[in-house]
Amino acid sequence: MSNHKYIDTSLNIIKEKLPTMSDSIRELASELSTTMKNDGVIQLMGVDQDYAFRMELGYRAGGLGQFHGLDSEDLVLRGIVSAEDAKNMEASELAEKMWSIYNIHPQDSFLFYVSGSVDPIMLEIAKLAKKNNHVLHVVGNVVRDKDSEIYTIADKVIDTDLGEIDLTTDVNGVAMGPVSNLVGNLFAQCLTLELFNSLEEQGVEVNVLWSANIVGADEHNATITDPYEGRWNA
Amino acid sequence: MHKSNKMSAQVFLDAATEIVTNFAQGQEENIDKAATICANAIEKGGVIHVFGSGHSLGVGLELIGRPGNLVPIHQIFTTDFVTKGNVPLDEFRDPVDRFERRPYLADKLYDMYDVHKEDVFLIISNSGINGLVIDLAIKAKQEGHPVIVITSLQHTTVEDSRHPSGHKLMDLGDVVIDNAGPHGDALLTLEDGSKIASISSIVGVIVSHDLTEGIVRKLQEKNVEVPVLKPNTSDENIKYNEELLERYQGRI
Repeated sequence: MSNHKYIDTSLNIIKEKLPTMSDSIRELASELSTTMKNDGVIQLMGVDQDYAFRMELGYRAGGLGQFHGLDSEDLVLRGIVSAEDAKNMEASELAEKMWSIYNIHPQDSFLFYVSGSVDPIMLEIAKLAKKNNHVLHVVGNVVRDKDSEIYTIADKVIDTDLGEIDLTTDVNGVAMGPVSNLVGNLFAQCLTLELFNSLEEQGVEVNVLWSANIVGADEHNATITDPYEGRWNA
Repeated sequence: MHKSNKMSAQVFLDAATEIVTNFAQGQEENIDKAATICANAIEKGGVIHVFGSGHSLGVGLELIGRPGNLVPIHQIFTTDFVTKGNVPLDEFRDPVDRFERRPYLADKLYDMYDVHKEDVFLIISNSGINGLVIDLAIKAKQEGHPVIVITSLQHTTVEDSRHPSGHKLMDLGDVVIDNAGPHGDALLTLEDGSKIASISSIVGVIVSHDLTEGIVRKLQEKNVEVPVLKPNTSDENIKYNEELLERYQGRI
Protein backbone atom coordinates (compact mmCIF):
# COMPACT_ATOMS: atom_id res chain seq x y z
CA MET A 1 0.00 0.00 0.00
CA SER A 2 1.25 3.48 -0.85
CA ASN A 3 2.76 5.42 2.03
CA HIS A 4 1.33 8.61 0.54
CA LYS A 5 -1.08 10.36 2.85
CA TYR A 6 -3.58 11.35 0.16
CA ILE A 7 -4.51 7.70 -0.49
CA ASP A 8 -5.49 7.31 3.17
CA THR A 9 -7.43 10.57 3.02
CA SER A 10 -9.27 9.37 -0.08
CA LEU A 11 -10.24 6.04 1.43
CA ASN A 12 -11.46 7.87 4.50
CA ILE A 13 -13.63 10.15 2.35
CA ILE A 14 -15.14 7.16 0.56
CA LYS A 15 -15.72 5.08 3.69
CA GLU A 16 -16.61 7.76 6.24
CA LYS A 17 -17.63 11.03 4.58
CA LEU A 18 -19.90 9.94 1.74
CA PRO A 19 -22.09 7.61 3.84
CA THR A 20 -23.01 10.63 5.99
CA MET A 21 -24.42 12.27 2.85
CA SER A 22 -26.43 9.28 1.63
CA ASP A 23 -29.82 10.48 2.93
CA SER A 24 -29.32 13.89 1.29
CA ILE A 25 -28.31 12.24 -1.96
CA ARG A 26 -31.40 10.02 -1.93
CA GLU A 27 -33.68 13.00 -1.26
CA LEU A 28 -32.04 15.02 -4.02
CA ALA A 29 -32.38 12.07 -6.40
CA SER A 30 -36.06 11.81 -5.60
CA GLU A 31 -36.59 15.49 -6.42
CA LEU A 32 -34.51 15.37 -9.60
CA SER A 33 -36.39 12.29 -10.75
CA THR A 34 -39.46 14.53 -11.05
CA THR A 35 -37.60 16.64 -13.61
CA MET A 36 -36.62 13.56 -15.59
CA LYS A 37 -40.08 11.99 -15.40
CA ASN A 38 -41.53 15.20 -16.83
CA ASP A 39 -39.07 15.09 -19.76
CA GLY A 40 -37.02 17.83 -18.22
CA VAL A 41 -33.28 18.25 -18.44
CA ILE A 42 -31.13 18.97 -15.40
CA GLN A 43 -28.98 22.02 -16.07
CA LEU A 44 -25.59 21.60 -14.42
CA MET A 45 -23.03 24.23 -13.52
CA GLY A 46 -19.66 24.24 -11.80
CA VAL A 47 -16.97 26.85 -12.33
CA ASP A 48 -13.17 26.39 -12.49
CA GLN A 49 -12.28 23.16 -10.69
CA ASP A 50 -15.97 22.61 -9.92
CA TYR A 51 -16.46 22.01 -13.65
CA ALA A 52 -15.54 18.42 -12.77
CA PHE A 53 -18.92 17.88 -11.10
CA ARG A 54 -20.75 18.92 -14.24
CA MET A 55 -18.56 16.55 -16.30
CA GLU A 56 -19.28 13.71 -13.90
CA LEU A 57 -23.02 13.86 -14.60
CA GLY A 58 -23.23 15.12 -18.18
CA TYR A 59 -22.97 12.53 -20.97
CA ARG A 60 -21.00 10.19 -18.74
CA ALA A 61 -20.30 6.48 -19.14
CA GLY A 62 -22.63 4.67 -16.76
CA GLY A 63 -24.72 7.82 -16.43
CA LEU A 64 -28.13 9.10 -17.47
CA GLY A 65 -29.02 11.20 -20.49
CA GLN A 66 -31.06 14.12 -19.26
CA PHE A 67 -28.27 16.49 -18.23
CA HIS A 68 -26.81 19.60 -19.83
CA GLY A 69 -23.87 21.71 -18.72
CA LEU A 70 -23.81 25.51 -18.56
CA ASP A 71 -20.46 27.19 -19.15
CA SER A 72 -19.64 30.88 -19.60
CA GLU A 73 -16.78 29.86 -21.90
CA ASP A 74 -19.44 28.90 -24.45
CA LEU A 75 -19.95 32.62 -25.07
CA VAL A 76 -16.34 32.94 -26.20
CA LEU A 77 -16.22 29.61 -28.04
CA ARG A 78 -19.33 30.52 -30.01
CA GLY A 79 -18.06 33.99 -30.82
CA ILE A 80 -20.82 35.78 -28.90
CA VAL A 81 -18.34 37.81 -26.87
CA SER A 82 -14.59 38.06 -27.15
CA ALA A 83 -12.43 36.77 -24.30
CA GLU A 84 -11.36 40.36 -23.66
CA ASP A 85 -14.93 41.71 -23.57
CA ALA A 86 -16.00 38.88 -21.28
CA LYS A 87 -13.49 40.10 -18.68
CA ASN A 88 -15.05 43.56 -18.64
CA MET A 89 -18.76 42.76 -18.81
CA GLU A 90 -21.12 42.60 -15.85
CA ALA A 91 -21.92 39.10 -14.61
CA SER A 92 -25.63 39.77 -15.09
CA GLU A 93 -25.10 40.64 -18.75
CA LEU A 94 -23.02 37.52 -19.36
CA ALA A 95 -25.62 35.38 -17.59
CA GLU A 96 -28.40 36.82 -19.79
CA LYS A 97 -26.36 36.00 -22.89
CA MET A 98 -25.70 32.48 -21.63
CA TRP A 99 -29.39 31.96 -20.91
CA SER A 100 -30.23 32.95 -24.47
CA ILE A 101 -27.89 30.46 -26.16
CA TYR A 102 -29.21 27.37 -24.38
CA ASN A 103 -32.46 25.56 -24.97
CA ILE A 104 -33.94 25.67 -21.47
CA HIS A 105 -37.45 24.27 -21.12
CA PRO A 106 -39.93 25.17 -18.36
CA GLN A 107 -39.73 21.70 -16.79
CA ASP A 108 -35.91 21.81 -16.49
CA SER A 109 -34.28 22.10 -13.09
CA PHE A 110 -30.84 23.36 -12.06
CA LEU A 111 -28.10 21.66 -10.08
CA PHE A 112 -24.97 23.64 -9.18
CA TYR A 113 -21.76 22.60 -7.41
CA VAL A 114 -19.73 25.12 -5.41
CA SER A 115 -16.59 24.24 -3.48
CA GLY A 116 -15.50 27.78 -2.57
CA SER A 117 -16.66 31.30 -3.34
CA VAL A 118 -19.77 31.52 -5.49
CA ASP A 119 -18.94 32.64 -9.02
CA PRO A 120 -20.77 35.88 -9.90
CA ILE A 121 -22.04 34.52 -13.23
CA MET A 122 -23.30 31.38 -11.53
CA LEU A 123 -25.19 33.52 -9.04
CA GLU A 124 -26.80 35.50 -11.86
CA ILE A 125 -27.79 32.28 -13.65
CA ALA A 126 -29.28 31.07 -10.35
CA LYS A 127 -31.34 34.27 -10.11
CA LEU A 128 -32.54 33.83 -13.70
CA ALA A 129 -33.50 30.24 -12.96
CA LYS A 130 -35.60 31.34 -9.98
CA LYS A 131 -37.08 34.27 -11.88
CA ASN A 132 -38.22 31.78 -14.52
CA ASN A 133 -39.73 29.45 -11.92
CA HIS A 134 -37.19 26.64 -12.17
CA VAL A 135 -36.20 24.48 -9.22
CA LEU A 136 -32.62 25.17 -8.11
CA HIS A 137 -30.47 22.77 -6.08
CA VAL A 138 -27.02 23.70 -4.83
CA VAL A 139 -24.40 21.32 -3.50
CA GLY A 140 -21.91 23.59 -1.80
CA ASN A 141 -19.27 24.03 0.83
CA VAL A 142 -21.41 26.66 2.50
CA VAL A 143 -18.89 27.90 5.07
CA ARG A 144 -16.65 29.28 2.30
CA ASP A 145 -19.28 31.81 1.18
CA LYS A 146 -22.09 31.48 3.69
CA ASP A 147 -23.59 34.91 3.01
CA SER A 148 -23.94 34.29 -0.72
CA GLU A 149 -27.44 34.88 -2.01
CA ILE A 150 -27.34 31.57 -3.85
CA TYR A 151 -27.86 29.72 -0.58
CA THR A 152 -30.92 31.83 0.17
CA ILE A 153 -32.64 31.49 -3.19
CA ALA A 154 -31.91 27.79 -3.76
CA ASP A 155 -34.81 25.42 -3.19
CA LYS A 156 -32.44 22.91 -1.65
CA VAL A 157 -28.89 23.26 -0.36
CA ILE A 158 -26.72 20.26 0.45
CA ASP A 159 -23.72 21.33 2.49
CA THR A 160 -20.57 19.35 1.75
CA ASP A 161 -19.11 20.75 4.98
CA LEU A 162 -15.49 20.67 3.82
CA GLY A 163 -14.22 23.53 5.96
CA GLU A 164 -12.61 26.90 5.24
CA ILE A 165 -9.48 25.57 3.54
CA ASP A 166 -9.69 22.58 1.24
CA LEU A 167 -6.27 21.12 2.01
CA THR A 168 -6.06 17.83 3.83
CA THR A 169 -2.45 16.74 3.62
CA ASP A 170 0.73 18.11 5.17
CA VAL A 171 3.94 16.89 3.57
CA ASN A 172 6.79 18.16 5.72
CA GLY A 173 5.21 21.59 6.02
CA VAL A 174 3.76 21.80 2.50
CA ALA A 175 -0.05 21.92 2.53
CA MET A 176 -1.80 20.05 -0.28
CA GLY A 177 -4.50 17.53 -1.09
CA PRO A 178 -7.82 19.23 -1.84
CA VAL A 179 -10.79 16.86 -1.67
CA SER A 180 -13.68 18.93 -3.01
CA ASN A 181 -13.68 17.21 -6.40
CA LEU A 182 -13.22 13.79 -4.86
CA VAL A 183 -16.33 14.45 -2.80
CA GLY A 184 -18.08 16.01 -5.80
CA ASN A 185 -17.33 13.09 -8.11
CA LEU A 186 -18.36 10.51 -5.52
CA PHE A 187 -21.51 12.49 -4.83
CA ALA A 188 -22.29 12.60 -8.56
CA GLN A 189 -21.92 8.85 -9.02
CA CYS A 190 -24.00 8.07 -5.93
CA LEU A 191 -26.60 10.52 -7.22
CA THR A 192 -26.66 8.74 -10.59
CA LEU A 193 -27.33 5.43 -8.86
CA GLU A 194 -30.05 6.85 -6.59
CA LEU A 195 -31.68 8.65 -9.53
CA PHE A 196 -31.80 5.35 -11.37
CA ASN A 197 -33.33 3.70 -8.28
CA SER A 198 -35.90 6.45 -7.83
CA LEU A 199 -37.02 6.39 -11.45
CA GLU A 200 -37.20 2.61 -11.50
CA GLU A 201 -39.29 2.60 -8.31
CA GLN A 202 -41.71 4.95 -10.07
CA GLY A 203 -41.98 2.60 -13.03
CA VAL A 204 -39.97 4.77 -15.38
CA GLU A 205 -37.79 2.89 -17.83
CA VAL A 206 -34.23 4.19 -17.61
CA ASN A 207 -31.39 3.40 -19.95
CA VAL A 208 -27.79 4.03 -19.04
CA LEU A 209 -25.15 5.56 -21.30
CA TRP A 210 -22.21 3.40 -22.31
CA SER A 211 -18.62 4.55 -22.49
CA ALA A 212 -18.22 6.22 -25.89
CA ASN A 213 -15.10 4.13 -26.34
CA ILE A 214 -16.66 0.71 -26.74
CA VAL A 215 -18.03 -0.78 -29.94
CA GLY A 216 -21.66 0.14 -30.55
CA ALA A 217 -21.76 2.88 -27.91
CA ASP A 218 -22.53 5.75 -30.30
CA GLU A 219 -25.66 3.99 -31.55
CA HIS A 220 -26.77 2.91 -28.07
CA ASN A 221 -26.18 6.34 -26.55
CA ALA A 222 -28.04 8.06 -29.38
CA THR A 223 -31.20 6.15 -28.47
CA ILE A 224 -30.98 7.80 -25.03
CA THR A 225 -30.01 11.32 -26.08
CA ASP A 226 -31.94 11.69 -29.36
CA PRO A 227 -35.25 12.55 -27.61
CA TYR A 228 -33.39 15.49 -26.04
CA GLU A 229 -31.48 16.57 -29.14
CA GLY A 230 -30.69 20.26 -29.01
CA ARG A 231 -31.23 20.27 -25.25
CA TRP A 232 -28.63 17.94 -23.72
CA ASN A 233 -26.06 19.26 -26.20
CA ALA A 234 -27.32 22.85 -26.60
CA MET B 1 -19.48 -7.84 -10.22
CA HIS B 2 -22.79 -6.85 -8.64
CA LYS B 3 -26.04 -7.68 -10.48
CA SER B 4 -29.28 -6.09 -9.39
CA ASN B 5 -31.44 -3.20 -10.35
CA LYS B 6 -31.70 -2.08 -6.74
CA MET B 7 -28.34 -1.02 -5.42
CA SER B 8 -27.83 1.64 -2.81
CA ALA B 9 -25.08 4.24 -3.03
CA GLN B 10 -23.25 2.21 -0.38
CA VAL B 11 -22.82 -0.62 -2.90
CA PHE B 12 -21.05 1.83 -5.18
CA LEU B 13 -18.91 3.18 -2.35
CA ASP B 14 -17.85 -0.37 -1.42
CA ALA B 15 -16.93 -1.08 -5.04
CA ALA B 16 -15.04 2.23 -5.25
CA THR B 17 -13.11 1.35 -2.08
CA GLU B 18 -12.01 -1.89 -3.73
CA ILE B 19 -10.83 -0.11 -6.88
CA VAL B 20 -8.93 2.59 -4.97
CA THR B 21 -7.30 -0.07 -2.78
CA ASN B 22 -6.27 -2.01 -5.89
CA PHE B 23 -4.88 1.17 -7.41
CA ALA B 24 -2.90 2.00 -4.27
CA GLN B 25 -1.47 -1.51 -3.98
CA GLY B 26 -0.72 -1.97 -7.65
CA GLN B 27 0.55 1.41 -8.82
CA GLU B 28 2.87 2.58 -6.08
CA GLU B 29 5.97 1.85 -8.15
CA ASN B 30 4.59 3.60 -11.25
CA ILE B 31 3.57 6.65 -9.24
CA ASP B 32 7.07 6.74 -7.80
CA LYS B 33 8.65 6.55 -11.28
CA ALA B 34 6.34 9.25 -12.60
CA ALA B 35 7.07 11.46 -9.60
CA THR B 36 10.82 11.05 -10.20
CA ILE B 37 10.48 12.08 -13.85
CA CYS B 38 8.39 15.13 -12.94
CA ALA B 39 10.61 16.18 -10.03
CA ASN B 40 13.71 15.93 -12.21
CA ALA B 41 12.03 18.10 -14.85
CA ILE B 42 10.92 20.71 -12.31
CA GLU B 43 14.44 20.80 -10.86
CA LYS B 44 15.71 21.72 -14.33
CA GLY B 45 13.07 24.42 -14.77
CA GLY B 46 10.71 22.22 -16.75
CA VAL B 47 6.95 22.25 -16.94
CA ILE B 48 4.52 19.30 -16.98
CA HIS B 49 2.01 19.55 -19.83
CA VAL B 50 -1.21 17.74 -18.95
CA PHE B 51 -3.67 16.63 -21.58
CA GLY B 52 -6.81 14.58 -21.30
CA SER B 53 -9.79 14.88 -23.59
CA GLY B 54 -13.40 14.11 -22.69
CA HIS B 55 -13.83 13.34 -19.02
CA SER B 56 -10.09 12.90 -18.59
CA LEU B 57 -9.94 16.69 -18.65
CA GLY B 58 -10.71 16.42 -14.95
CA VAL B 59 -7.20 15.24 -14.06
CA GLY B 60 -5.73 18.44 -15.45
CA LEU B 61 -8.32 20.56 -13.64
CA GLU B 62 -7.28 18.84 -10.46
CA LEU B 63 -3.63 19.72 -10.96
CA ILE B 64 -3.76 23.45 -11.65
CA GLY B 65 -4.60 26.80 -10.21
CA ARG B 66 -5.47 26.37 -6.55
CA PRO B 67 -3.73 26.03 -3.21
CA GLY B 68 -1.88 22.75 -2.88
CA ASN B 69 -1.16 22.54 -6.61
CA LEU B 70 2.30 22.63 -8.13
CA VAL B 71 2.78 25.75 -10.24
CA PRO B 72 4.84 24.36 -13.17
CA ILE B 73 1.85 22.51 -14.61
CA HIS B 74 0.25 23.51 -17.90
CA GLN B 75 -3.12 22.13 -18.89
CA ILE B 76 -3.82 21.67 -22.57
CA PHE B 77 -7.50 22.08 -23.44
CA THR B 78 -8.92 20.79 -26.72
CA THR B 79 -10.98 23.98 -26.81
CA ASP B 80 -7.67 25.81 -27.35
CA PHE B 81 -8.00 24.69 -30.98
CA VAL B 82 -11.08 26.92 -31.23
CA THR B 83 -10.09 29.82 -28.98
CA LYS B 84 -6.71 30.12 -30.71
CA GLY B 85 -8.44 30.12 -34.10
CA ASN B 86 -7.11 26.84 -35.50
CA VAL B 87 -10.43 25.01 -35.87
CA PRO B 88 -13.95 26.38 -36.45
CA LEU B 89 -16.49 25.60 -33.72
CA ASP B 90 -18.77 23.59 -36.04
CA GLU B 91 -15.90 21.30 -36.95
CA PHE B 92 -14.87 21.03 -33.31
CA ARG B 93 -18.39 20.02 -32.27
CA ASP B 94 -18.99 17.60 -35.18
CA PRO B 95 -21.09 14.84 -33.58
CA VAL B 96 -20.08 12.24 -36.17
CA ASP B 97 -16.36 12.82 -36.75
CA ARG B 98 -15.65 13.42 -33.08
CA PHE B 99 -12.72 15.69 -32.47
CA GLU B 100 -11.02 13.64 -29.78
CA ARG B 101 -10.96 10.62 -32.07
CA ARG B 102 -9.05 12.35 -34.86
CA PRO B 103 -5.38 11.74 -35.59
CA TYR B 104 -2.85 14.10 -37.21
CA LEU B 105 -3.60 17.14 -35.04
CA ALA B 106 -0.75 16.91 -32.56
CA ASP B 107 1.68 19.08 -34.54
CA LYS B 108 -0.81 21.94 -34.42
CA LEU B 109 -1.49 21.37 -30.75
CA TYR B 110 2.20 21.15 -29.81
CA ASP B 111 3.01 24.33 -31.73
CA MET B 112 0.38 26.34 -29.87
CA TYR B 113 2.42 26.29 -26.67
CA ASP B 114 5.81 27.30 -25.37
CA VAL B 115 7.25 23.82 -24.86
CA HIS B 116 10.84 23.52 -23.59
CA LYS B 117 13.10 20.54 -24.08
CA GLU B 118 13.11 19.66 -20.37
CA ASP B 119 9.28 19.50 -20.21
CA VAL B 120 7.25 16.37 -19.51
CA PHE B 121 3.89 15.27 -20.95
CA LEU B 122 1.22 13.68 -18.76
CA ILE B 123 -1.49 12.27 -21.03
CA ILE B 124 -4.69 10.82 -19.68
CA SER B 125 -7.28 8.69 -21.43
CA ASN B 126 -9.40 6.04 -19.77
CA SER B 127 -9.78 4.13 -23.03
CA GLY B 128 -6.38 5.04 -24.47
CA ILE B 129 -7.60 4.42 -28.02
CA ASN B 130 -8.50 7.85 -29.41
CA GLY B 131 -6.58 9.63 -32.15
CA LEU B 132 -5.78 12.93 -30.52
CA VAL B 133 -4.21 11.69 -27.29
CA ILE B 134 -2.20 9.01 -29.10
CA ASP B 135 -1.04 11.54 -31.67
CA LEU B 136 0.14 13.93 -28.98
CA ALA B 137 2.02 11.14 -27.20
CA ILE B 138 3.75 10.22 -30.48
CA LYS B 139 4.67 13.87 -31.05
CA ALA B 140 5.99 14.30 -27.51
CA LYS B 141 8.14 11.18 -27.87
CA GLN B 142 9.45 12.38 -31.24
CA GLU B 143 10.45 15.67 -29.61
CA GLY B 144 12.30 13.83 -26.86
CA HIS B 145 9.95 14.45 -23.92
CA PRO B 146 9.18 11.84 -21.29
CA VAL B 147 5.55 10.72 -21.51
CA ILE B 148 3.55 9.60 -18.51
CA VAL B 149 0.25 7.88 -19.27
CA ILE B 150 -2.81 7.33 -17.09
CA THR B 151 -5.25 4.81 -18.56
CA SER B 152 -7.42 1.81 -17.77
CA LEU B 153 -5.53 -1.32 -18.77
CA GLN B 154 -8.70 -3.39 -18.50
CA HIS B 155 -10.37 -1.12 -21.04
CA THR B 156 -7.58 -0.35 -23.44
CA THR B 157 -6.42 -3.92 -23.89
CA VAL B 158 -9.76 -5.09 -25.30
CA GLU B 159 -10.62 -2.20 -27.65
CA ASP B 160 -9.05 -1.40 -31.02
CA SER B 161 -6.97 1.74 -31.48
CA ARG B 162 -8.58 4.55 -33.46
CA HIS B 163 -5.16 5.87 -34.49
CA PRO B 164 -3.85 4.87 -37.94
CA SER B 165 -0.55 3.73 -36.39
CA GLY B 166 -2.43 1.06 -34.46
CA HIS B 167 -0.79 2.29 -31.28
CA LYS B 168 -2.64 2.68 -28.05
CA LEU B 169 -1.71 5.30 -25.50
CA MET B 170 -0.24 2.63 -23.20
CA ASP B 171 2.32 1.76 -25.89
CA LEU B 172 3.80 5.24 -25.74
CA GLY B 173 4.30 5.90 -22.04
CA ASP B 174 7.68 5.88 -20.32
CA VAL B 175 5.50 5.17 -17.33
CA VAL B 176 1.96 3.79 -17.59
CA ILE B 177 -0.27 4.27 -14.56
CA ASP B 178 -3.26 1.93 -14.54
CA ASN B 179 -6.31 3.56 -12.94
CA ALA B 180 -7.53 0.07 -12.00
CA GLY B 181 -10.95 0.75 -13.49
CA PRO B 182 -13.00 -1.81 -15.45
CA HIS B 183 -13.76 -1.98 -19.16
CA GLY B 184 -16.46 0.59 -19.90
CA ASP B 185 -15.61 2.58 -16.74
CA ALA B 186 -18.89 1.88 -14.92
CA LEU B 187 -18.67 -0.39 -11.88
CA LEU B 188 -22.09 -1.90 -11.22
CA THR B 189 -23.90 -4.26 -13.59
CA LEU B 190 -27.66 -3.96 -13.96
CA GLU B 191 -30.02 -6.83 -14.77
CA ASP B 192 -30.04 -5.98 -18.48
CA GLY B 193 -26.25 -6.18 -18.58
CA SER B 194 -25.63 -2.45 -18.84
CA LYS B 195 -23.36 -0.87 -16.26
CA ILE B 196 -23.90 2.16 -14.08
CA ALA B 197 -21.74 4.54 -11.97
CA SER B 198 -18.22 5.20 -13.23
CA ILE B 199 -14.92 5.30 -11.41
CA SER B 200 -12.20 6.80 -13.63
CA SER B 201 -12.76 10.44 -12.63
CA ILE B 202 -12.70 9.51 -8.96
CA VAL B 203 -9.42 7.64 -9.33
CA GLY B 204 -8.24 10.50 -11.55
CA VAL B 205 -8.51 12.91 -8.62
CA ILE B 206 -6.63 10.48 -6.40
CA VAL B 207 -3.85 9.91 -8.96
CA SER B 208 -3.50 13.68 -9.34
CA HIS B 209 -2.86 14.33 -5.67
CA ASP B 210 -0.96 11.10 -5.02
CA LEU B 211 1.39 12.06 -7.85
CA THR B 212 1.66 15.65 -6.59
CA GLU B 213 2.53 14.34 -3.14
CA GLY B 214 5.18 12.07 -4.68
CA ILE B 215 6.71 14.96 -6.66
CA VAL B 216 6.81 17.14 -3.55
CA ARG B 217 8.54 14.41 -1.55
CA LYS B 218 11.13 13.93 -4.34
CA LEU B 219 11.84 17.67 -4.49
CA GLN B 220 12.19 17.81 -0.72
CA GLU B 221 14.65 14.89 -0.81
CA LYS B 222 16.71 16.85 -3.36
CA ASN B 223 16.51 20.03 -1.27
CA VAL B 224 14.95 21.76 -4.25
CA GLU B 225 12.37 24.49 -3.71
CA VAL B 226 8.84 23.07 -3.81
CA PRO B 227 6.76 25.35 -6.08
CA VAL B 228 3.34 24.77 -4.55
CA LEU B 229 0.61 27.41 -4.30
CA LYS B 230 -0.24 28.40 -0.74
CA PRO B 231 -3.72 29.36 0.52
CA ASN B 232 -4.42 33.06 0.00
CA THR B 233 -4.80 33.60 3.72
CA SER B 234 -2.06 36.20 4.23
CA ASP B 235 -0.30 38.95 2.28
CA GLU B 236 2.88 36.93 2.53
CA ASN B 237 1.25 33.89 0.88
CA ILE B 238 -0.37 36.02 -1.81
CA LYS B 239 3.01 37.60 -2.66
CA TYR B 240 4.66 34.17 -2.68
CA ASN B 241 2.04 32.80 -5.08
CA GLU B 242 2.32 35.81 -7.39
CA GLU B 243 6.08 35.44 -7.61
CA LEU B 244 5.80 31.73 -8.36
CA LEU B 245 3.25 32.30 -11.10
CA GLU B 246 5.34 35.09 -12.58
CA ARG B 247 8.31 32.74 -12.84
CA TYR B 248 6.41 30.45 -15.22
CA GLN B 249 4.55 33.22 -17.04
CA GLY B 250 3.78 32.29 -20.66
CA ARG B 251 4.46 28.61 -20.12
CA ILE B 252 1.55 27.61 -17.90
